Amino acid sequence: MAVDLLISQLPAIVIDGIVFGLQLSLISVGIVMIFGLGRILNLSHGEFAVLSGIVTALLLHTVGIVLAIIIGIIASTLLGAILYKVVLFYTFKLHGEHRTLIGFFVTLGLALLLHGYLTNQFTGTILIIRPPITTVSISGYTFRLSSILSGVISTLLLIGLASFLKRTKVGKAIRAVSQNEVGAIISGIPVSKILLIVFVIGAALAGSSGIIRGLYTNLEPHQGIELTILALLVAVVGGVRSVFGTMIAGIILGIVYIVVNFLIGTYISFVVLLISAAVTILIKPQGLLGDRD
Amino acid sequence: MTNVLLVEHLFGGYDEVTILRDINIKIDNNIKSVGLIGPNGAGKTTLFKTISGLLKPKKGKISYNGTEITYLPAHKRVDIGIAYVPAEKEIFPRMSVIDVLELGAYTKRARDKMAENLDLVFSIFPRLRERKWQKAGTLSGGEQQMLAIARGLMSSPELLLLDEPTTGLAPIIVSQIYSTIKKLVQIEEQLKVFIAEQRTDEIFDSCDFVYVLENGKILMMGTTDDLRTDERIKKSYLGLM
Repeated sequence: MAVDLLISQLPAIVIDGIVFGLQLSLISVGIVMIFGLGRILNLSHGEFAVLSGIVTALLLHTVGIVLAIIIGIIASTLLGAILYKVVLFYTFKLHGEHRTLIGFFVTLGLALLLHGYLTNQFTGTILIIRPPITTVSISGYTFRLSSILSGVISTLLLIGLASFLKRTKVGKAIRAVSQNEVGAIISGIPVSKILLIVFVIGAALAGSSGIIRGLYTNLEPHQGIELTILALLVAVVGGVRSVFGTMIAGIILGIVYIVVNFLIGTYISFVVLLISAAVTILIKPQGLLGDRD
Repeated sequence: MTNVLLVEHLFGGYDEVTILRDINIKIDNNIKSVGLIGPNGAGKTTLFKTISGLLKPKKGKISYNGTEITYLPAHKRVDIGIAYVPAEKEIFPRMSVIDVLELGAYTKRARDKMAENLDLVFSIFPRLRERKWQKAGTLSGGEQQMLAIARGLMSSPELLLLDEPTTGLAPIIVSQIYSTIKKLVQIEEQLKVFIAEQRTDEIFDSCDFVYVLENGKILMMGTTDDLRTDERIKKSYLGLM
């Protein structure tokens, strides 16, 4: 019965899964880059998405959509820069396992703090952006325009990031630091400035992801932790080093999540995702695309 | 006349461990190449890491062209002309050779001279030109060593610190690397090379001045010609080779 329904709605569900997955990838690439460079798993990363979404939602009806989105992204970008300068800069001064462990507690603390603040102060502030045209028809199937739009924007942002890392001087310096920190220092690359840049880019992309979520579904203040966990899974499955690995992992996990969600329910889909991540680590410890970047 | 490098009463090492004790080194403008010889564990790498800024000194003073740089961050030392080529090479394994070389020219100092320096490193290491698009991690040991030296040269250094540039390489590659270093010192008028080595013969063959480091202390120093005839050197170093 559920399966019949699934088959009839499959294209729409797959599109939803892809869109959701790409949105997670946008959060995940920030986690991946920060971990690749600094060996710190940023557990507060999903809160950047929520912050941008809330700021945009608050401003949407007063300053217009374009400005609201811009200010929303600036908000999380600034928060990223401040958090790095004030809190994480000192964590990055530590070395080895120390840094990873302290980083774990510091970012978990930040996540809880931001989560508490955002859910208490902005209860009921929900970001919903709906384009004037609701559906488009592609070869007989009807899709929601907002889904298509979300997917396209996410993809463009991810491709933009990948080419930034591949082609620009700063992008190459970012990869250099993640491949060999000492090698980067003796090339004259200022590592702590590069970390700041990565933090800011990561925060901006997560912020964009939150706003994109408001486009195809709703973004609510409490979703930060959930988004962080899902993005972490995407990061692990994608192999914590490559943007394309993260993108593909996001799409796969997004589809799995939406399909299981449709067939059974939300909490089971989390379990299924955790199992998928565990199986990936067992089969391919380097993640889907391994050590490429 | 100011010295290119002046190390005064330097103490250094890692966290709790002091390795270098009261090191004094002077490289002035009359010298082109300086050797640092000494057995494994003497502190050669510690000294180079301290001069390049990767390790903070515990005491003492380091000056470069008359300016004190004792606590200058490592990446800024590259920008004033100090390049360190570590024994571990520290290349970027998943980047192409050309990308690694371009990153070597990251500093303001080197940016404008990138094309010129690229010509230089390709002329002294033609092998790297052939491997331009290959991932650095897939190069052979000798080629990786060439790449590490070439990356150092891309930063337009005035002082090039080479830490055991031939460790683990086949004898033929060793002599190739040393003849390249000698050639390099000849073509680059401004360049001073400071080489740490266990291979005493190569150092005596290619350097003007030699420091002998043992147990973290400078045991002897002098021009290559003076030290070559020194009985202690003959006995403990040259005799072995």
